[in-house]
Amino acid sequence: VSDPEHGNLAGLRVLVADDEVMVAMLLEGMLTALDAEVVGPVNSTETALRAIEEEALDAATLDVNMRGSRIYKAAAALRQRGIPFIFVTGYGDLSDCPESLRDVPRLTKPFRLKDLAAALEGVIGQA
Amino acid sequence: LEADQEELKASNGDGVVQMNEKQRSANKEIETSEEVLQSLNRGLHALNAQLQGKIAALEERSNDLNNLLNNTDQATLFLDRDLRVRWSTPPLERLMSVRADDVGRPIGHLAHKFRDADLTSDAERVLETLTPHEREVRTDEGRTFVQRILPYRAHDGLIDGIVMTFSDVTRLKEIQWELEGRTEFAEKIVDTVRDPLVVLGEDLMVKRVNNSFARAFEVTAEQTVGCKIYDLGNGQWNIPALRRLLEDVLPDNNEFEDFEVEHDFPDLGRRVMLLNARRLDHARRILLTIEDITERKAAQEQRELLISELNHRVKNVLATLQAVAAQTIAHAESLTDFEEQFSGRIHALARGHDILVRSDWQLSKVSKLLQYALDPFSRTERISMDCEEVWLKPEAALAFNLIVHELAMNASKYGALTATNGNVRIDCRRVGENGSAMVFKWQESGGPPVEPPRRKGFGSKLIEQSAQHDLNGSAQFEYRPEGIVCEIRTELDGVSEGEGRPA
Repeated sequence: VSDPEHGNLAGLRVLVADDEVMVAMLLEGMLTALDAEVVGPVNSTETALRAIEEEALDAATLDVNMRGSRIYKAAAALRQRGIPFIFVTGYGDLSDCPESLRDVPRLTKPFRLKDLAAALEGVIGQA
Repeated sequence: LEADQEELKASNGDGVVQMNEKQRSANKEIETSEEVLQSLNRGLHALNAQLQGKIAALEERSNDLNNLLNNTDQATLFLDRDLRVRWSTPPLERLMSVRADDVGRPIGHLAHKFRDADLTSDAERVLETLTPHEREVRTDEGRTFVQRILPYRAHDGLIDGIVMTFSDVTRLKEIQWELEGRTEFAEKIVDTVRDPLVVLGEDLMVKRVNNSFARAFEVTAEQTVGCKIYDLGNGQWNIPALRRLLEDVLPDNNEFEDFEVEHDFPDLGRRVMLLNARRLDHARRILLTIEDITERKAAQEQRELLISELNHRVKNVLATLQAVAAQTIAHAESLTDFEEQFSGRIHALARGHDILVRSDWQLSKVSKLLQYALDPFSRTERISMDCEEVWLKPEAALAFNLIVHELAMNASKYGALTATNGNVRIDCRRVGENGSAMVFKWQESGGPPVEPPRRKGFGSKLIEQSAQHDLNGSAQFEYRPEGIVCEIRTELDGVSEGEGRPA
């Protein structure tokens, strides 16, 4: 569903995975402002994997560092299902990122509404 | 007459004959004697010649001996049984005032250059005991000699005086001194080095270990010296990597540097060792330092982790600030209202951080958290508390701090804390089996009448999400007319006993 008035994210179901409640709420607020429908937020790799399993998703934003562990498992699950996603991270570089996930676009914290929109639109356009 | 004549004749004749015979025999004897004499003479000649030969040989030997003694540069003094000078070699003249005409003088009369020698009593002792005597003596010029005294044995085995020799060992002493200096230098370096250091022979036998080595590997120098390195500490150094370094790498290279070996030691556990070695070809030794870098490596990894964590947190904090600002501005009634709420929330976040620092990122007490969170608000005397002691993990403590802040801010802006006779009652107790969960209840009364909100405010949303995500629980709001009631339930999940830092 594309609505030029509200950008290309309108009506899309976007999974938000972030363990910082404030940031998760910010993402939720921003995605709502972009007329997307938020799934979650979830705050661990396990809950993210469950959401991927159970929910119909159009896209996802994944915080890389979730309670001290990495979200890469959830990323792999998304990739397997062909669901586009971006990484949201405080890290400049992800040196421990698996080779297969190197090409995932990264949104570096802190970010603006238009950065989030552009990053998501970028991966959705590819998919 | 005739007869007489005849008789005379006869007797004459007889006499003559007899005389002739005697004459002949005498002549014969003389001849024999001459022969004897001649042979004797010949014998004497031969003997003489033999004697001459022996004298010549003796002279030759004597010359040899003199040349030898003069050539060796060894000062030698021969004394008779009364310790009088018999003769001496020329080099002695440099040490003692003795000349050819001093023969026969007692040794005690001769002046010498030795600083600490007692030649007479040394010589007397040797004559008495018949045992050789040897010691070092020094001259006034600082030269050192080895003085040797031996009994002089004549050919018949009788003692006929003594022989005293002085050998110059000054250079030898200097070299020895220098050598001792270098040994001391080397040994002190070995002892000064703070890393465990072991000196090995070419056969990989331990020659020496320094104090650090003994300390680090819980051995004594006595236990190690003479052992093969592989046998140290019940063979705990019999490591393939070390064997390879010592037996394959070192023979082809003079050294190896900063070689990391990770190994499970029977007594020390899993350690990371940094090995450095030098092969000393001249001294035929191997210097090997073994530095335990396990802790340093762990600290380094910890530091890297902290730095990347800090990086992450800084960015997250900025994102959080951005989120707080965005959400606060969306719900603010005015700029003043925004300023008040925004700075209140920033302070709450900062306080949360203080709590974590104070508890060293371990557990925090709920009563303390409440005290800190409520501290910035006025009319806190209107808040009554009944709290069981519960401990929260760092993430839960941070969330709890924010929840209490949001509740208190709402109460002092719209609720019970705006009115002089408003009250807040806080109850906090463990519930469930073994007290595995906590119920925290915030109950307002006496404030302005409350109506359920038309839409969820940022505060209640934050409380709900925090309770859900960070407290692993839930938040329930009840909008009673006399005041808001908020009940937070959190699974402690071993939190009260648990420890650990957040990653």
